[in-house]
Amino acid sequence: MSDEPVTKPTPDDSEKLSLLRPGQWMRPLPESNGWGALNTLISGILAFTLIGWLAGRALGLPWLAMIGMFAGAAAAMTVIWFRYGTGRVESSQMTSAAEEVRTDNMKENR
Amino acid sequence: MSLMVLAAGNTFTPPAASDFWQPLIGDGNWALTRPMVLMTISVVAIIAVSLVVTRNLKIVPSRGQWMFESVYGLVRNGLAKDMIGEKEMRPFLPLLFALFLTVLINNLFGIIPPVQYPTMSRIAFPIGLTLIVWILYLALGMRRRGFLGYFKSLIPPGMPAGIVPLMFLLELVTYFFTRPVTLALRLFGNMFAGHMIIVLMALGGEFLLLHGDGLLKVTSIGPLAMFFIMTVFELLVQFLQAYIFTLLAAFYIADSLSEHH
Repeated sequence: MSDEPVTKPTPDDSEKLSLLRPGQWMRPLPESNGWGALNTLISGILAFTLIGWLAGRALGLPWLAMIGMFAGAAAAMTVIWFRYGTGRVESSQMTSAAEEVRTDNMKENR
Repeated sequence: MSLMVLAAGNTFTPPAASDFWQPLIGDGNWALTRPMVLMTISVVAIIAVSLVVTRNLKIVPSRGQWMFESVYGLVRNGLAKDMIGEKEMRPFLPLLFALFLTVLINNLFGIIPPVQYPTMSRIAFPIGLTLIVWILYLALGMRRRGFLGYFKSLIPPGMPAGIVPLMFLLELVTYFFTRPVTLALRLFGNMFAGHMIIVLMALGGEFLLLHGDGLLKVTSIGPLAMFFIMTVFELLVQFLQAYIFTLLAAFYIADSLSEHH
């Protein structure tokens, strides 16, 4: 978590939307976080399965690959929670800004 | 049912992965294969159509120009603008447009009657296209942030120290391995499996109709109907896969361009 307080987006729509522009924030679209999270999950399972398999081959314990697979899924979920989870820096701020713009627009349309 | 088919005196050979290996000239590693010819045809066709259509651009577009512009508009406004942003998308538009058209035309080859072979069902073609995207987004990111800065940028700022080593390992694997591999395999797998199902339905229906015994011929309606349905479904998948491939390429490029990670 960042030590700096998360700056509240201004009520001006255009300024809030500027948060979404790339070059400023992590993801160009909040929706694309899904692709990132999926890739992290696959990476975690692959990396830890490989580590487990290598360790298992060295130690003669073949089931370590299976342990690695589950450990990898758990590790990937932890990383996803820290990186994309709500109430955290950057991506969450971006998403909340987008969310606010959306709710504001919905209010205006009513 | 298979026993009855066997009783008809013939055996049914289902399509196999080896059926996708179709050398036209020569054999072995240096053979000229059917997908190679198709890829060449698609590239020549795309270049020729692009040149002809854009040679005489008008403000009120002709039919051809309108169609071409709507495909270009899809890539420009639907993908590049949303993903990379209007300010920085220009240098990447030709690549994204070329990627989209190449993948789309080669996918469509899977159901266009005289051709009927999806080029991307041979894994080397998706790998080749993916390598372009992979090298491009790594080079862009490293040029933006420096070689070491790129690795540092894999961790977003403000993460607790305990999670950093784990996150670094997983992000490293993601950027250098998972991203290119999934990009290539997604396209290859969809095209390969989709074509396999179509061929299986066509061959199965044909076999039941021509070699089935008496009433068994009626059952060929099932596979033949599925052959038609899956062909229509495949059209959707082919378009979708071309779109997703380009979308992810744009996303990876945008990700490398952004300063904060």
